[in-house]
Amino acid sequence: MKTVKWIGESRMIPNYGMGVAGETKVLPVDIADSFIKQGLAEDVKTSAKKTTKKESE
Amino acid sequence: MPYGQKSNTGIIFQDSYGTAGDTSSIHFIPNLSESLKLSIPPLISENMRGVFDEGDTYEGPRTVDGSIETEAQPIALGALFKSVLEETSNVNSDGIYTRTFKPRTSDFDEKSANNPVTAYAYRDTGSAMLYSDLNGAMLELGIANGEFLKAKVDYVGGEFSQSASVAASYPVGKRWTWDTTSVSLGGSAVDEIMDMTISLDDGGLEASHTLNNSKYPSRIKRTSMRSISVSGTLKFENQDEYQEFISQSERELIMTFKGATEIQSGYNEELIVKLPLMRYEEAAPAAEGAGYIEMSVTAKGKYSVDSGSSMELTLVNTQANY
Repeated sequence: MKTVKWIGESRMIPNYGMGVAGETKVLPVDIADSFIKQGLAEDVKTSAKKTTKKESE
Repeated sequence: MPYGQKSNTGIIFQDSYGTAGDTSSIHFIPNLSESLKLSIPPLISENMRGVFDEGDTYEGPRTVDGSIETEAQPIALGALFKSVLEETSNVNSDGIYTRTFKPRTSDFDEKSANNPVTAYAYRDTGSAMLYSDLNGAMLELGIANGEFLKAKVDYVGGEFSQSASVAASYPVGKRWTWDTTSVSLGGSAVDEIMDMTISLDDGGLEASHTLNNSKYPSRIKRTSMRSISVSGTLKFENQDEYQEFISQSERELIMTFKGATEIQSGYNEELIVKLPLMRYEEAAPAAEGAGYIEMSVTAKGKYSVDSGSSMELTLVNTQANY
């Protein structure tokens, strides 16, 4: 499972509830990766690292 | 066992004819049915060679056709509209988008009459199928009392390929129902209409092949003039509309579909279908039994020199981009 932050417009994800902008979702890795590739979600770990790096700069 | 209810269908808008859309930007369409298919007609040699049996078979020109039919969802409907019509304006007011769609006044480019699209179809097994270089050729909007507004687009084209399926996500929002639908003719509300269907044939779009080292069509172009047809059934409680048929008047038809719930304070998802000049072709009241007398009608939406169009669709929803 992978935790992602939904960054797209609100959408219904079949069998996994709603993707709401700004909210996090825990999804199977393949589904999460597909949404990341579609630009609808981002990996929470990756975005957290980006944020931390920006803050340290 | 693959199920239709687990299939996913969507549309990707292409930047140009000949380059399939990227599966990372699919507009998924909740649908009643899809019938997209690749056709490979046989090219059979007719040379005589001393036997009764038909000759060798080669591949003929490949084409794609089929349709997507849906109970219209306000966001998904915009994607269907854009595959047939041109988005002529888009006004954003605090995240509420009001778009106007009209039939095109010029082709998308020299190879494609309408905006080329790639249709994505995952049928619950194996790879997804990509039907690219398609044009929306016909649009049908229909509603009957007690039902949802339904929309159907017929596609012609195109190329075919397969790709890995992608995770689907669907727009949410209430569908339009019969009880929030109103019709006006010539500026007056008409409440005796029981059902109505409006169909746009965008000029007999046809995929054509050329000698370009490919089995697939190289262009999608018009073969006839655009026509807009209306059909419906009215309760024959007066002769007002029948007199309009006799006089062959041309009047404005407006169908308004208003979403049942607010998407923002004071705003509902809305669709307004406007034919500037509707002219009856047939009106047939008939006493076909003991019950209420009804009148079936057919009509055409004619081009208006005043509005410069034969149809105008206004769609209000929360979708930023198509």
